[in-house]
Amino acid sequence: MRKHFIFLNMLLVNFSLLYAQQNTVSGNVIGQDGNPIPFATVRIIGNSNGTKTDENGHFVIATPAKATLIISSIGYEDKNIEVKGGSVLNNITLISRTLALNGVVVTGLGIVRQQKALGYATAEVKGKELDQAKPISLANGLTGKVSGMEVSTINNGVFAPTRITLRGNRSLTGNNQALIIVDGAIYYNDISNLNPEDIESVTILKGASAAAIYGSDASNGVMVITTRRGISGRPVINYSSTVQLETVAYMPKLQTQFGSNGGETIFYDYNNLSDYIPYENQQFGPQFNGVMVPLGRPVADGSLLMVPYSAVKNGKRDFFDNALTTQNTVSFSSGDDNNRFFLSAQDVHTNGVVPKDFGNREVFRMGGSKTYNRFSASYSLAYTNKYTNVTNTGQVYNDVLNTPQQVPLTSLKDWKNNKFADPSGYFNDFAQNPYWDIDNYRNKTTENDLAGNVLLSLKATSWLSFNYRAAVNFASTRYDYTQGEQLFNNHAMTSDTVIYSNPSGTGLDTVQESPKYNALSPTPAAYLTSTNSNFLITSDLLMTVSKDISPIFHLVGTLGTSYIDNQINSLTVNAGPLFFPLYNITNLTGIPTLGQSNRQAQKQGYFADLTLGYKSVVFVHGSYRTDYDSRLSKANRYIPYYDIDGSVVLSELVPSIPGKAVDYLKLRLAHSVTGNASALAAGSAFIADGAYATDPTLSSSTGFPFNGLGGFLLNPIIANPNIKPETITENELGLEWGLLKNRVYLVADVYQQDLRDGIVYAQVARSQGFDSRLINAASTQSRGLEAELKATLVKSGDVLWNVGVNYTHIQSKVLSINGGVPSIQIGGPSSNSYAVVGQPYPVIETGDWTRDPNGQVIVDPITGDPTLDPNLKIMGNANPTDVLGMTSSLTYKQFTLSATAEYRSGYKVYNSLGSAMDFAGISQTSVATGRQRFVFPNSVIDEGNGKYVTNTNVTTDDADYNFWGGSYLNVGSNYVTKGNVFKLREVVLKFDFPRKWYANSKVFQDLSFALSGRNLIMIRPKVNIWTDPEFSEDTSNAVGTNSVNETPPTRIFGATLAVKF
Amino acid sequence: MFKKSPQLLICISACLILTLSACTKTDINSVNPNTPSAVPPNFVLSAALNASAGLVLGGNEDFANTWMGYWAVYGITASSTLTYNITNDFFSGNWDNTYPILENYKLIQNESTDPTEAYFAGIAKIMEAFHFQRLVDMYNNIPYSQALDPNNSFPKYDDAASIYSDLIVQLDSAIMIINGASVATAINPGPSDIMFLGNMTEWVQFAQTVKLKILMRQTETTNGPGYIQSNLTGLTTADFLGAGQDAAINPGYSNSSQAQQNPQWQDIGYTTNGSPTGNNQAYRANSYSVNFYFGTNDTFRVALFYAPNDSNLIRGRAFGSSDVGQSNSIISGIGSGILQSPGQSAAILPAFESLFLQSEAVERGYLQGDPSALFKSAVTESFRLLGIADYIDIAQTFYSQPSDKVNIDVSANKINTIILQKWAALNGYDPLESWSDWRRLGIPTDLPVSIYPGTTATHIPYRLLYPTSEFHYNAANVDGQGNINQFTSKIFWMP
Repeated sequence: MRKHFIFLNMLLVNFSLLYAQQNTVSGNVIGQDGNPIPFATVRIIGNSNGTKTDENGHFVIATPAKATLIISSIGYEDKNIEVKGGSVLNNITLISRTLALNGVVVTGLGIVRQQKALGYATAEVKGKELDQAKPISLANGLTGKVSGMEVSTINNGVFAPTRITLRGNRSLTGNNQALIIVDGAIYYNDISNLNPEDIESVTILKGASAAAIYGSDASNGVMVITTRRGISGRPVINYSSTVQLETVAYMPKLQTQFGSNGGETIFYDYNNLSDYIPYENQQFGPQFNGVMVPLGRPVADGSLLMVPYSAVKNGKRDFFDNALTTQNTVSFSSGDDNNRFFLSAQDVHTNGVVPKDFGNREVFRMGGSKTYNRFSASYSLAYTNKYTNVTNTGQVYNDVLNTPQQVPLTSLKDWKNNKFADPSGYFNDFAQNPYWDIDNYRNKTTENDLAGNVLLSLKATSWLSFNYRAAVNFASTRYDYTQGEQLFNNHAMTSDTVIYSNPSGTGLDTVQESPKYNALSPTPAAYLTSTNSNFLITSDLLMTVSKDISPIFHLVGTLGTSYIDNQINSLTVNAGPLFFPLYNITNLTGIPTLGQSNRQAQKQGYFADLTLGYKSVVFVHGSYRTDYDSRLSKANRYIPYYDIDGSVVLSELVPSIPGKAVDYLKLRLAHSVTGNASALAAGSAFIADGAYATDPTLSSSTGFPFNGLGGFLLNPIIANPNIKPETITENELGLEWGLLKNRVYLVADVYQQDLRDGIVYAQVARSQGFDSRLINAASTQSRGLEAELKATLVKSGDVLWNVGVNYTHIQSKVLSINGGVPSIQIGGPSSNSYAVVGQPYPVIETGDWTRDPNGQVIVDPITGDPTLDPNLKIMGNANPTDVLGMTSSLTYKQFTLSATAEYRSGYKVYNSLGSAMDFAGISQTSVATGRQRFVFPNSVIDEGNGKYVTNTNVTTDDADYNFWGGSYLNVGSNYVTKGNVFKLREVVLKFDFPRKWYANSKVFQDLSFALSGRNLIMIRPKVNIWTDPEFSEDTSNAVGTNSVNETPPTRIFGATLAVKF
Repeated sequence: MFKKSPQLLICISACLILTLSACTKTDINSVNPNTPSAVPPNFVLSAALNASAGLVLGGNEDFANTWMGYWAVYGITASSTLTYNITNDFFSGNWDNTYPILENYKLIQNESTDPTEAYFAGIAKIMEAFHFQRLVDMYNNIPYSQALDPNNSFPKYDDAASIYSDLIVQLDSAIMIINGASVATAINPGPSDIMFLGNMTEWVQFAQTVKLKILMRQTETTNGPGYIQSNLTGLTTADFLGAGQDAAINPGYSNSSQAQQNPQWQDIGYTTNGSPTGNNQAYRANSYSVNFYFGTNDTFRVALFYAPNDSNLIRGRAFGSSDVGQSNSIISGIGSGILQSPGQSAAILPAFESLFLQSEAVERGYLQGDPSALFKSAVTESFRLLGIADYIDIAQTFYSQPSDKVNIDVSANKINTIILQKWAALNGYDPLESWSDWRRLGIPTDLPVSIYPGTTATHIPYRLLYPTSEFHYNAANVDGQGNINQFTSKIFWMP
């Protein structure tokens, strides 16, 4: 029936041609399903003429002798077609933008495979989607868009670091972050060194099966990033300019009722709150009453700063800046059938919310390809220069919190000229002026990152091709830390005079207080400098055979080898104190601490990859790899890693299946064994960081050399030359289902990952003469469910509404660590993250109140005070177990409204920020009882005979300095809350200017304006009064703890103007 | 051409791929350019001796300074030091840090198999015995014969008495190694020997003194005088460290960085910019010893063991006192005889300790000599070490007083006088030795227990508890030691 119809169309077209003018092009437009696409726009590039297809997808358009047509329709990719006058274009097929059922996917090592042949889970995010809200780092543009992928931005800093994991965590001490591949080459560098606008697409290979071709690096899944290479057709210049404003959106809950006192005068001042102390940082003083009080001590000229004794409104919020970021990007792109070329430059200037924090990033990229008969070559070259200049965030934020609420902090900004703001005159005896910190503690980092990539291909025969790729990535980093000198005048160092406001309110009392609680002494300037160079060479050689071996069987096979060489050289000079603030190592006063590290590692992989297809509906695929890793012993170098997977397109195999409810149905199954040796590099992705980890060595001992005398002691870790990579076995089952004319598309996966031989630094009995041993001992298991639903809700006329929902559920469990060892700490010695046998990984462990068997807090029968249980307790899993992501894109005529939201739940966070706030007495928690003694909630009294009775009347000793600033803050469990959070990650409203507005100028091809917002809404449970649960101290596995090192959560508003010439 | 021989083409390609990879393969990680896998023994010796000084004087024995009546603790913070309710973590550095240091002495011996390296081997063996004795004196049975083996994760515990007897064997062997070395060809450790600067005679004297210390510990055991005497056969007092011969380590301590300060200065002294350390503020004069020194007119030494308070007086606090009025401006801190300078040497066995040991041995008849002269020399050495310029005369005036607490010649119980003055001299130097003397002989007899509220102990603890690390990582073996109680479980040499 349909065939007849098309035939008829062709007749009609031909017939019409007879009467057409010479320069008339006609044709019909269809979708991948063969159905006509009505009302698609047909335009001529460089010309204001345009038309639309009719109900049957037909069009006729008058053209110049030579022209490029651009066919577009909402929901489909644009298509450019070069025409010469008077042609007929039959069945122009547009690719659906929403459902790429029959598309191709770039998998590991640049191998391109048919979507329907894949036996494992993948997802693709187009450059346009990830870039819509103009994030500085492309990682932010991925958040919430892909199931199984967790992108966490761990603070609000300049070029904020992100942690990207696929299918959660497996390794206890190794790297769990996704392997990043840029244009086929391994990319270990910071993802924020890339310009998101250079990205064509990001393919996410979620599981280990998909990544198995990378062998011993494969366990964490892969992000395959493809950069732009130019498009065929008329040369195009794109320019976009974005301005963004970042503002603090969520301050932690602060009290506004009480002023300064740190318990100096009377320790146990239960009911009559202590006197106001003008030089105090802690806020356990009397209630605000609005009268004028002295702030600080009299300064050198005898003058005294008087302030109203009441909380300054938004005093802390106003300390933070509204930070401006600008991004300007220009790109040039051109190409024809055999040549492609792309060139871009981007300038980002970004400011942080902490005053004077800033950063710049310049990214230049050139990419292109050339085809000449059987040969083709493509290349890309990128250079990034990134500079950040930031202060010590934790110090500044802590000093802000230790500024009592009556202090007009923002008026004390000018510490150089304001006598009440300089170090000598600043009111606070115990905390520094944060504005002084900002000017005097600077961390400056310059990164130069050069990445080049060349791919040479030879299509030897119709069925045999060769690909050789070589890539280099050279990154050098220079880090300088400068710390200004702190000087005080004589008066500040010697005067003991304090002026108090008379408690009776009748005036001021001058008191000589000797000695001062905190004697001031000048500190000299200090300096640290380090340089790091990182050189990475990768190359792959692939031979691919693609052949129909019988009418029904098709075979694609690849044989290859890949090589990687990584060299890292770093040099650190910690000069320590300087004579005067000239930041140069020749100006140091003492013996500098020096550090040098030269590391190199190589890997050579051999692999084979084979896909066998039956009638293009049943596919079996396998890959095999083994690696030579220079870091491992001979015995462990050639461990096999493999994947075997298969897929069945049931809707094509069984003709009876397709129907109203099923347009497309595919089942898939995958099994793989992969490896991970990054634990050798203590979690660093760079292989060189793991070099020499298995050697027994000696190190220069602390204090040495003493005046020419050297001393070396054994490394306290028992070396293990026989260490081997961790192995991860993954089994995966997936379903892909398209229905309602493929307007609804569902993908679901379940998987289980089992890690064996996990590498840990296991503690040993010290009587062995060492403190730990590097060993393959741990095992973990994780299971997950991923589901993605994409649907076109409305598609009619001017309206297109696509929505996507993705859901992730992850369950992990530590099965064993090392023999009977029940737990190990993850991260540094002050980390709260632990791997505990039988628990999810990682869990938060911290101190808790002593509790009775029912979990109620036991208080002292006389003092009413609870006590800290000396044993750490498990507070809960630190990674979200359930994540729901939602995307929506609604187009109406010229307007497109896109939004991304995400809900995370099933985990806990440790807001150690709360402890710093309770110490300062600035927290809302510390005024829960109006600083009056109280019966500790849900408390019991131990009767001593194994019975506990409910405490109804014994109040705490104190509800002021001693309680909140003393015992409460030491109990970590008080700051552990649910991590549940809903975030509106992105909202973008884009307006494409109608062509007729500017068509006459003949300069612009496209002109659009967009308003965007990021993190506009964050909804947390009421108990989380502190900060964003996504925040963490670093990007390591030790997630889930935040502190003063992360400033309050922000919102970002932006506007983008984009022009296409 | 391609079409004609696809198989050949595949073969050629496969070979090409393999060859290409093969030429890149070199063992680039066989040599670590950052840290050495072996160094000449002199570099380990200097670092190990420095670590020994840090271990003995860097704070691990602070608890013994308080328990033995020398120091009190500032503040009212409840602490296991004050209550004796010690945990497995209490001062566990004494265990956890000793074994890794011993591993380095073992390394020196393993690497010094050549006859020319005999001195290094001998010195390492002596230091091993020195540290193992400390461990036994704190923990009784410990891993010894199977300890320090990277291939044995669960070293068994050895009987303390048998360890003690083996230490004597090891010391004798060390002395033989040193004495048997060829003076002409043996490499002298020279400046890497930061204790005796390559003076091997002094190393042998030190070894004999450690041996004497091990033997004298056993006066109250069933081994008895016969065992002790037989092991001292042929030795005279000249074979031990004598006047002026402190076993003191100094790699070149100075104030140029925190890590280069004398470890005791680092612990209870001052930072490089002169501000007091936390322990400087925490550890104060104990009124028991302050009263003892004043009671024996020991005005010179008391003013060096303790620093004058704001009113220029030496004042102590009762151990465990919770009187918040006794601030640090009222109670004396640690004095300038202990804290002489950041560059001072770290005496792990002062000469006076050797002389007191000899005096007791002679007095008990195990050695030939004059116990009174040795006693007086010991007291004199204590005055010297504290930095008193005119120490000989002042010491003489002191020990010539008619009291039997100071004057051995008038004492009816000479052992008591020796041990009491030994206790008086060990203040801040080697409190483990005085704790051992108290556990062995009960001297000083009136050593007070903590008055911290709620303390029910009738005497100070007899030992430390095995550290948490053993319960975590060597559980079966440490559990095999049964229930250990600090108030009732004794060291094998205790009566």
